[in-house]
Amino acid sequence: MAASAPAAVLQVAAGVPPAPLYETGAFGHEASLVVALLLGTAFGWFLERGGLGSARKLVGQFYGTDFAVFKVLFTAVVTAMLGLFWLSRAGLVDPYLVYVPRTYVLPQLAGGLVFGVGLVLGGLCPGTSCVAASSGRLDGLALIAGMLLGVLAFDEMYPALAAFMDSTFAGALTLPAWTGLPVGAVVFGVTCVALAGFALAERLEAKP
Amino acid sequence: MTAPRLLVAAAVVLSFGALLVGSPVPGGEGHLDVARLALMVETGGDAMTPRELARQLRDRSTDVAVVDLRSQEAFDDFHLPRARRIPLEKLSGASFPDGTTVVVYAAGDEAAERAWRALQGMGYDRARVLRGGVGGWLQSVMAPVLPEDATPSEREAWPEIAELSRYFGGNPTRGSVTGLPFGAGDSPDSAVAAAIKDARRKGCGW
Repeated sequence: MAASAPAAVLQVAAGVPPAPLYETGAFGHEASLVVALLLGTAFGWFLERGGLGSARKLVGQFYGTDFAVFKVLFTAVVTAMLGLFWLSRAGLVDPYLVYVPRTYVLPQLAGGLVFGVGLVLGGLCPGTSCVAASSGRLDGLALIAGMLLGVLAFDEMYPALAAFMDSTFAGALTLPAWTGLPVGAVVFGVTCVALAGFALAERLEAKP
Repeated sequence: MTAPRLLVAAAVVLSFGALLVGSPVPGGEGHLDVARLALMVETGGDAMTPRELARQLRDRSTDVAVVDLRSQEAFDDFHLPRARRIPLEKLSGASFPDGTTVVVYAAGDEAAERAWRALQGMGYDRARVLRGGVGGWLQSVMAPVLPEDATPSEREAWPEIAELSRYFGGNPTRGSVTGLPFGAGDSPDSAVAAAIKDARRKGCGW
């Protein structure tokens, strides 16, 4: 790791973006697991500080009484989007090496629906259930047990589901590729939607 | 100004700036279509098999460039015919004639795939990864094996494969013994080293 810092400096000087660090070879597979642990811990800490360790807060989103989930997650989206755009522009990140998850339209719609039902019923999502459990909430622990059982059930059912899971493949779809708009226009549009959403959320929360 | 208002102002300024500049890379976008690349990887269009490359080299195809990403020592020890050694970090400075199929290889596939993405970013949309790297070349071109229980179609294809192998000084064999002194469980590096040693012993190094 120590030897990679001067190499990264040389890369920037030569006009080669040093990040994403794993993709450009700044660290290997094993170091990436350590980095994942650090990032995961930071993610959990910020979720907890954002108040998302509480099931009441999460469910409040669906009853329209508390928009903390919307605000925290949309803030994360906008921060990451603007950061990635401008770090790429500064030559520090190669945006084309950032992994884009594959889109499978129907399987992902079905998965989203199952996820949503679980979120409303349990009041927590996978990340926040870990946060809730680590801050001593029993409902968080119960949900982690349910999540592991669900993973096991999915794995057992996978042979029967495989054909559906591979259906309606749409490649690595991104908003700019899908709409044909420049990346900058999409960045601006998403930021506007987020800011309008924040303003609306504040109004709805202020209502008695 | 309160902190939230300051952050909102920052988001407005940065996103409006993004709208003005348009692309996250200074050279403009459009030179790399992520969806197209993903589809190429999923359909195998990003790769070339060692035998496909061998046929093109045998036919003296002029629009193929072979790039070896390994160390100077490994290159001096053994490399593919017509290969140029260009380390990954120097690839951005390399140039090839328009329309060239740039075939990259290393000991395994990982470094070659990184180079492939870099080449795609540089506009060489006909770049290909040599499937299996040096080990793949040694196994399927230098030491192809016709198994005893080969299917009729494998037997039909065998004379051409054996001839291709002999053209490059290889050692095609029949039967259950593998032509290379390593098993599937060996690491790519040790397997390649062993295969090169074996090729040397048989007197067919370049």
